[in-house]
Amino acid sequence: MEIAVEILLATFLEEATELLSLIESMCLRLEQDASDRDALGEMFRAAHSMKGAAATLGYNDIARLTHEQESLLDVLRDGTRELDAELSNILLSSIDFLRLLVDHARSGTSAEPEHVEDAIAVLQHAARHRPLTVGPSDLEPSSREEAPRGRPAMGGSTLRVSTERLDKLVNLVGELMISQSAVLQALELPPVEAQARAREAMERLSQNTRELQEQVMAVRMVPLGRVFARFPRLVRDLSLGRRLNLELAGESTEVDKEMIEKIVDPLTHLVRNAADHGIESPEVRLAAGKDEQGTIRIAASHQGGSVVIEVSDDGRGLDLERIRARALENGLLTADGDASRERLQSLIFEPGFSTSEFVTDVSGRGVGLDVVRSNIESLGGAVSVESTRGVGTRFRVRLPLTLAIMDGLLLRVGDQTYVLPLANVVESFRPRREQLLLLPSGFELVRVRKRAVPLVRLHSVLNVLPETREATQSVCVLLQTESSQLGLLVDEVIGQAQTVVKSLETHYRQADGLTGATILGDGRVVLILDAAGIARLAFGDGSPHLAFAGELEENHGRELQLN
Amino acid sequence: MDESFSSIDTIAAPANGGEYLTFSVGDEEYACDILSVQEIRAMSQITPIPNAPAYVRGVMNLRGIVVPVISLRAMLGLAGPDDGKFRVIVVVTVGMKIAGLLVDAVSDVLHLDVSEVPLPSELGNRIDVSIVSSLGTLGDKFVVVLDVPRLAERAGLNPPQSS
Repeated sequence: MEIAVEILLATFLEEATELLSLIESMCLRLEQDASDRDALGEMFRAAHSMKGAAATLGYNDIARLTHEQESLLDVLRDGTRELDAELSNILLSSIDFLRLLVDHARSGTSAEPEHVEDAIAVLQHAARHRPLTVGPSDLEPSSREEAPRGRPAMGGSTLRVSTERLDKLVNLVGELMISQSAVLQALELPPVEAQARAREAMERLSQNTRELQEQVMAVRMVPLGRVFARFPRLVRDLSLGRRLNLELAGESTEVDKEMIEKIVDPLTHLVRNAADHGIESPEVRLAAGKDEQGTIRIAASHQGGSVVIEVSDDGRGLDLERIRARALENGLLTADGDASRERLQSLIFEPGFSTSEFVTDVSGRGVGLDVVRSNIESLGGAVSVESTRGVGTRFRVRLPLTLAIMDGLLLRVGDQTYVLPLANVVESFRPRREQLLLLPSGFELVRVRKRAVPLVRLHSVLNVLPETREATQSVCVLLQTESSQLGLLVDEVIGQAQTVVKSLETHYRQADGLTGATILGDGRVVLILDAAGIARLAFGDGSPHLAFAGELEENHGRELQLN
Repeated sequence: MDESFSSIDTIAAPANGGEYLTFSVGDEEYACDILSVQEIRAMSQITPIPNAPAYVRGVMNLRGIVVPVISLRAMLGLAGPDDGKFRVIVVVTVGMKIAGLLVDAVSDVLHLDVSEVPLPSELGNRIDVSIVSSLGTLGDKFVVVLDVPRLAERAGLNPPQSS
């Protein structure tokens, strides 16, 4: 019995979160077009379902509040009043408050009774079309930071899976069992026949296993639309008197459930950034001959084995001169170092780079883009920026499809084996002497089709004993990270492998240059290298990589034979 | 029967005694609370973690879980390699974390009387006493009782959540 109630509660909490998001997005739609009857109908239905469910389970505060919401919506529906800014603020605040109540229900705590009464009063007054005695701000939860948005549900998070997908899984498991018994039967046969038959059956078994793996992974995939759903409200709240237009694309792009939870913060930060620093005031925009209304665009797409999410705005763009000045101050650039455009742009991801001029009450929370970068990199992804002064800025986030399984390249250095994400590998080759260059600073380069790429000896980065220190006896693996290319010198490339990624953090902690570990078929634990992390290890803390790039530019074309 | 009764007694007993797993590192006998021990494993293949502190020997495969292996010898600040013939990995749990402790040999599971007397200063000259919780007595012998949670913390297993 108790279990049944628990399941009901869990379902309710999940549904309530979804319904609130629905009410919210419909409210925003109605705000754009007050005559949108469909949106109003949806809101009404959602509020009604929520009221019913809450009342059944004894969440009286939630039930009462949604009841008042319904009454207010009724006023809108019968045309006595149209949704104006004031009403929509009241509705949105009540949604925030309901979210808080749902969260209280989730954690088993209760809200302050007088807050609930205030919230109800505000809605009642609005519905009766009377002047407000309580301002909408009173309705807001005491601290906005505490207002939870889409936190993972209850302790162990749940996931909704379509029955279609579930049926597929069941079928596959059925096939798997048939194949398995075929193997066992084959082994019963006289030895002459057994081998061939068992081999055949094993092939089918491994085929089934692969399919099952794919399908199980597919279960974990959820559309990015779930993350995007929060942005209309965020952008609305950030518009601060300006008109901001939000364009969403690729909401159906699917990524791993775990990834969804982890990219919310970085993406939110980028959207805030665009709204806050990117888009100018209407006056400035008009003076610059732009549309008064600024546009933020979030677009997701699959590109090869990764998901790319772009957050772009048509705002003022990055001020490269200011970045240069700031970088000189911080010592990220040397006075004589003539930095390229890309280099200057990528500096905004450096720690401590958010300048005080940039800080406003909206984005200035002491968290800079360096955190965005490290969050994304910890997911095995990368972020880059592209900006044109006066035209806009585009952040490009590239993420692996899943955190759980990765196609990797097995490498050997000395007696150690490592895995590199295949997504980062461009090619591998044995360097010839004439491809190798040594800079005066000791940095090495390898020439790949007329381009000089920094060369990193994996053994020295990881402090292991290589088989050979002679580069021409080694193999160079050309890596592509979001910002640059890198040649990684290893003893041997063993081959490709599909690896199940295990976090090192679970029982140890994060380690520099590593994204995790995997277990090979023979039971050995092999570490998974993080291409961007290796680059950072090789060129020190912060990003002297950039300083090095300067030297690279200076020495461009200068031939310096090794030794 | 007698044995099982005595073990129930000791689990319920106050903090001055209880069941301990004893093992040796170098010439000394050490012990840790049996309740923090998950299992004892034969020496298995350890994958070194680059640039990790010397006491982190690497990670091993514990039935599909990747767990760190800590050299107790190195944690105690004792010299010499931990490649003894009888070395084993004592798998301990601390909160949600699992780790392997590499020791020279396991000895026994014993009831120890744990003294509340201060550690002899002489001990501090030989080993790092920050991971020692107390001294146990076994007849006329002393056994150094390790503070496993503290050890895990010192080994960096429970760093403050950074992200």
